[in-house]
Amino acid sequence: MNTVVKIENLVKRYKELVAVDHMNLSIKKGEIFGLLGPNGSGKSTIINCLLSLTEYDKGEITVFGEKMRADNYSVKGRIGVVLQNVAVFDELTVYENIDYFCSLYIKDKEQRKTLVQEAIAFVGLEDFTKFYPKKLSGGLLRRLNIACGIAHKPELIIFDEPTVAIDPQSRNKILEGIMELNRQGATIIYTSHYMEEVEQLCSRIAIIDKGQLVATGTKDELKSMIQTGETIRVEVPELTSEALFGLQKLSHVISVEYNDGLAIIKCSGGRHNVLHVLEYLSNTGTSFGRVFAEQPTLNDVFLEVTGKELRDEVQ
Amino acid sequence: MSVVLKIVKKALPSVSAYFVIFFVLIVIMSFFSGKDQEKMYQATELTIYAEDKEASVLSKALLTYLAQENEVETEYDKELLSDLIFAGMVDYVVYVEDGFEESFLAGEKGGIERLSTKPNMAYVDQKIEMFFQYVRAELAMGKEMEEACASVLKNTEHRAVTEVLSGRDAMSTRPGYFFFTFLAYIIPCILIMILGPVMHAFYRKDIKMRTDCGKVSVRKQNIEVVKGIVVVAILVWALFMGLGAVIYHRDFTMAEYLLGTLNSFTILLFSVAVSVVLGVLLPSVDALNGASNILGLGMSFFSGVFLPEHLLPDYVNIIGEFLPAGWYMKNVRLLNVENAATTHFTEFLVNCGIITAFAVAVFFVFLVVVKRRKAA
Repeated sequence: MNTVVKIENLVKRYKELVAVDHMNLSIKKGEIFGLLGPNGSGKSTIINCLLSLTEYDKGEITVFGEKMRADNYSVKGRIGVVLQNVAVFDELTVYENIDYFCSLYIKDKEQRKTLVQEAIAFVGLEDFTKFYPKKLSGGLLRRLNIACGIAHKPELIIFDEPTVAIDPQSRNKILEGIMELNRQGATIIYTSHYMEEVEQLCSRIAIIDKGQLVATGTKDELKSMIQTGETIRVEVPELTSEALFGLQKLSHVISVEYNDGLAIIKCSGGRHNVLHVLEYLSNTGTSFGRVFAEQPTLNDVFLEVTGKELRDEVQ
Repeated sequence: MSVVLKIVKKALPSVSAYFVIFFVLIVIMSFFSGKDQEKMYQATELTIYAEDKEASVLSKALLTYLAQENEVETEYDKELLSDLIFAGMVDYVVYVEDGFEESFLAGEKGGIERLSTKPNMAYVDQKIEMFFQYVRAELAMGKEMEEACASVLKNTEHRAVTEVLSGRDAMSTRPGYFFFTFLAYIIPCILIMILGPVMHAFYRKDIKMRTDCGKVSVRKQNIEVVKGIVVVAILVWALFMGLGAVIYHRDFTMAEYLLGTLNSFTILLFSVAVSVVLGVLLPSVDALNGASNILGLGMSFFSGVFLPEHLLPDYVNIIGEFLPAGWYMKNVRLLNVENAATTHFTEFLVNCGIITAFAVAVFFVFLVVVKRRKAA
């Protein structure tokens, strides 16, 4: 696979604060590459550096094999950007907005007309072309924001937290749209602090914290990097200390916590862990209620590699 | 450029009110200024009916004193006077009886009756009391009554001279004068309201980020915005100048009108500069509307747009010296001087230069703001 984006040793400082600390990333053609990290972790700064919207202190960024600079318009023409905030003109209609932003890439009016119509159809705004942005709901505004970024059919599309503060229905629609764009051949960079989205969408993920690259790989690769393979939660009204000790002694069990009638048993990657736990509880005469078994999540990965919960950071 | 025009088009409905205000103002001012102002000043005189039964030196002097500033009637139809008093239509009546002078010398208030059916009584009473005080003062200096009264009458015969400055040396009566005057108010207001939103839209942080990502260079994009702004500003200016030329072409010579046009062009430059700065600095279009009112009204007030310079306090005129509209108004006043195009041409150009310098300074502020934002 060809490398579309290569970031080498990128450093960006805001006075004393190191926003991006010696970052190295490589994004291949056709990927949906996720940048996952809590707010303030440096995701948007990386994107701004990548787009040459901000100057950086050190490192090199290559896009489509060319060094990225603010005046490298041939490369810019191959990139589409969907920013976190809805960046459209309040004074222009839906159609006029898409047409204007498309005109920053495509000069030919006829070609642009076709592209604008396609973008409108892609995001499902056919019934709202003459509406002004103030008349649109939050979800429709996000779709307009996306249409403005993709109308010129870019090869690389950067989505910077495109689903912040919208309803689940619109979110699903946007995620489906991103997958469709990827199927049509676009390489996607997707930044988010919603790990479920990143997990669902991205073929490769970089976990970022405090401007540093914590881990990178596919979701399976990331999960395999951590000790926890499976988390079993069992409702146990009463658990004796002997039984708790016995659970800890079971093979593949890493740790056992017991609080408020809920036993949380973390296991490494062995098979039939649930069966072994339940057999042990039955044999020791310990009564139990509902049982839940979960595969590790990206939150577990984040927890193990940074020592803190991604969810907590987000909140 | 088309986007600039679309944004301007969206702002036009709110601006149309300013056009209406402008033309209503100049029509009203033109109407009032059309009358001969010399006839507009007339000193107020009261009609005082007097009867002097005593005919003493003092009583005669009193009536002469009252006649200095009023109409004193001594021969009249007494029945008619009774009717007028009954109808409440008499300014003042003074009736001097025998023993008036004697009573006066004794320090008493007898021998004189006064009457009025209008609120003027207090004024004439005050005048009469002043006369008595003057006479007493003269008598106290050892003068005889005749000498004292003559002295008082001599001292009080001088009246304040009121002169109405005529014609084009003062406030012009030409309607076109108001046309150029109110441009100092209307052009900044309109441009802030239509160009401010353009700059506000293009320099919104998120929009700027998106446009900076485009394939079209930032320089080319800026040129398009500048082109749009120039076209709109020139259109607004041409609209006013065209209307002015059609409506007021008889009020000015060609040279005067061209000078007025040049003067208005400098205020246009300043207004464009202010509009782009405010458009970038202010957080919303509503704030721009507020700013246009504050700046337009404030600058116009301090520069003598709404009131003639000579009616304003000195400190207001001093503040006007620091405002471009103040210099603009100096030029408008120069246009009212006969043959201004030849006699005050250099002064006129210097004033235009000062207004242009204001515009350049404000535009420099704009560049600094943009540069700082970029650095941030």
